[in-house]
Amino acid sequence: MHRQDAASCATSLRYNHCVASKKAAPAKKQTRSAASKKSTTAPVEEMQLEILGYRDLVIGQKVTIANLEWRLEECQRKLRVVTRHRDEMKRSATWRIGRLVVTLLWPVRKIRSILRPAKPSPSN
Amino acid sequence: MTARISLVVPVYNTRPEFLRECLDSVLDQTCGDWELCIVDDASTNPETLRVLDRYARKDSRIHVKRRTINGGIGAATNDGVSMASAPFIGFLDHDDILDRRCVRKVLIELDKDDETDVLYTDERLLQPDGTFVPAKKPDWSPERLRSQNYICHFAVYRASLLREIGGLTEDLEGSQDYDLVLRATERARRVAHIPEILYTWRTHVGSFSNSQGTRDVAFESGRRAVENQCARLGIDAMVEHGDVLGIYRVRRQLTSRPRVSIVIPTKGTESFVDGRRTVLVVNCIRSILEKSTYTDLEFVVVADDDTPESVLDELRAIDHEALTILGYDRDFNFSDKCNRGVLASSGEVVMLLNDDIEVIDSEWCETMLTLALQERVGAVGCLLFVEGLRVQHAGHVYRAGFPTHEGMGFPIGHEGPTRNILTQREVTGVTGAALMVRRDAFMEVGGLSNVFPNNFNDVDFCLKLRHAGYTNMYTPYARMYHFESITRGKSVDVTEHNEILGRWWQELHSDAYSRSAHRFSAEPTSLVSPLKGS
Repeated sequence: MHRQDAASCATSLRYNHCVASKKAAPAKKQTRSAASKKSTTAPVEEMQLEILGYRDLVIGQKVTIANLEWRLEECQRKLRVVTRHRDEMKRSATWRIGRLVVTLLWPVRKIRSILRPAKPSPSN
Repeated sequence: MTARISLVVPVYNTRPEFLRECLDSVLDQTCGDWELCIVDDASTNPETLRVLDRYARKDSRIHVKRRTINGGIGAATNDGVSMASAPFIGFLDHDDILDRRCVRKVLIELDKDDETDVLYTDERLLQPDGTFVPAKKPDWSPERLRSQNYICHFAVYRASLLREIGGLTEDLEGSQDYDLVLRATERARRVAHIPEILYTWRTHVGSFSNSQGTRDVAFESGRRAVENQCARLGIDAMVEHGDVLGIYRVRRQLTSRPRVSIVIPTKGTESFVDGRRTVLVVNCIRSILEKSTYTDLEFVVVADDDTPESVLDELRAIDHEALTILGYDRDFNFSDKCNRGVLASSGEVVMLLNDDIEVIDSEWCETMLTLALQERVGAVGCLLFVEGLRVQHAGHVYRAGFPTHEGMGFPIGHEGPTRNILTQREVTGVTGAALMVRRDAFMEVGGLSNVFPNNFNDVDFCLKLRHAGYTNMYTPYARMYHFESITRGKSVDVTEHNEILGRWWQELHSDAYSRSAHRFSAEPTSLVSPLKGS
């Protein structure tokens, strides 16, 4: 995937996430912060957690796409290497001689298969 | 043909067979864009001189300069630098061997970026018994370089930079090359690393570095070289010898003392520690309060709903003004618990701590803070031991898609592979069991990801920090016990592993700071070898 596509994809994911979070805001659950007799801080705001989750999602999607790109490039690179090796092999004298032998032997094999008597069926 | 790289070789009474092998390795290069600048430091061995004459006649790219007075390694190398005409200079020891691909690979790497001023490759040590020990090096790690001269050979410098910094200093006996690499890298625009073994460093009985007395002098010079760098860079620190010679400890001064919020997720597990039944979270907090010299600490305990009331009572009984207990009534999710704990805290710096931790060092907090407060430093990890006196964690290692702990299983006091356990250094990640990070960095990357409720949340968090441009650090000077797996099983969720691979495939397959089969020698330098006696 092109980098620009990856960026726009991440943007659309961000948008979708925002819509999803607006549509279905997670139900606030009662936390047990009252358990502490020394509680000195305000209870955690769900909004702050959403901000953290949103940032995580953006980074997560971006790096996932970047990694997929990298893996695709790696696969393409490996494919290029394999293709080059195959082409080099096909240019080699051994390969050409081998192909020639197989080609020359084909009529011989064909004639032999015609001349060979048919095997009797097991039921006979 | 114009040379693109000058290889400088200072020579003094080298054994002819070693010298021939060294020079042949240069002549055998697959790329011919080099020149060889040999400086004979007034050798008295006629055989050495004969070999030099023969090779000088053999190839026009070999230049030999004879010094009339023996000046030592620094002076001889500087003469070589002044002879060099190429834009890059590489240093080759008179008894070492270059891989035949070395020059070609170096030039290809230099061509990739015009800003590369210093470049180094991996190397291997040739032992007197003929065996090889590979030394695979991490990518550019300035903090590690202050702790350990990991660069050694084969190092290539831009000639203009080398002349600008004045070449090698002729004092700092035995550590001139360490000093040179410190001075050059602090001015370099880019430092590159070729992760391939392209140099063979010969260790033999005649080597300078095998003599105990001179080694001690060299290590002391190394300490002074690091001290000098700290002074140049304005790092307010004392430099000491580390736990073993060849490792240096940069003890930075704490410039500010911000509040540190320690976030401890727990479910109030009780277990046997040192044969005594202990509430782990209480033991953890008490060990911190009893041992720590740092005072501005805040505790936020994120306790599951099923935490026994007796444990909560014990927590309430702890005499500390800033201790908050935050209830958690959802399914277990380590990341979510940590995030909630951080949001409920107020400190500028956050310490994520498992409840099964017990601190050992009194200055653990100051040690970690000096690193965490540096610019663009993300997560800071420490040295963890498991019960049974073995190392559990000395930074993360990411290999073949599986995150593991560096140094795991080594006995306490062991230096580990490449001395990784004892070296303060850059790492790709550290464990979330004891992780310090600045609040702004934590918030910037979205805290720990809830996608990883059990495993890999720390791996993901550290990689997110790296992705955002932060460097993660490990220090062996803050030590703690980690009674791991007392609190939860060791099972790894396949879906979490797939998720982490999906996000960080590349990073989990190529760890920039920890490569397999690497072992750095404790020897000070090879540039100081027999020449130093001259």
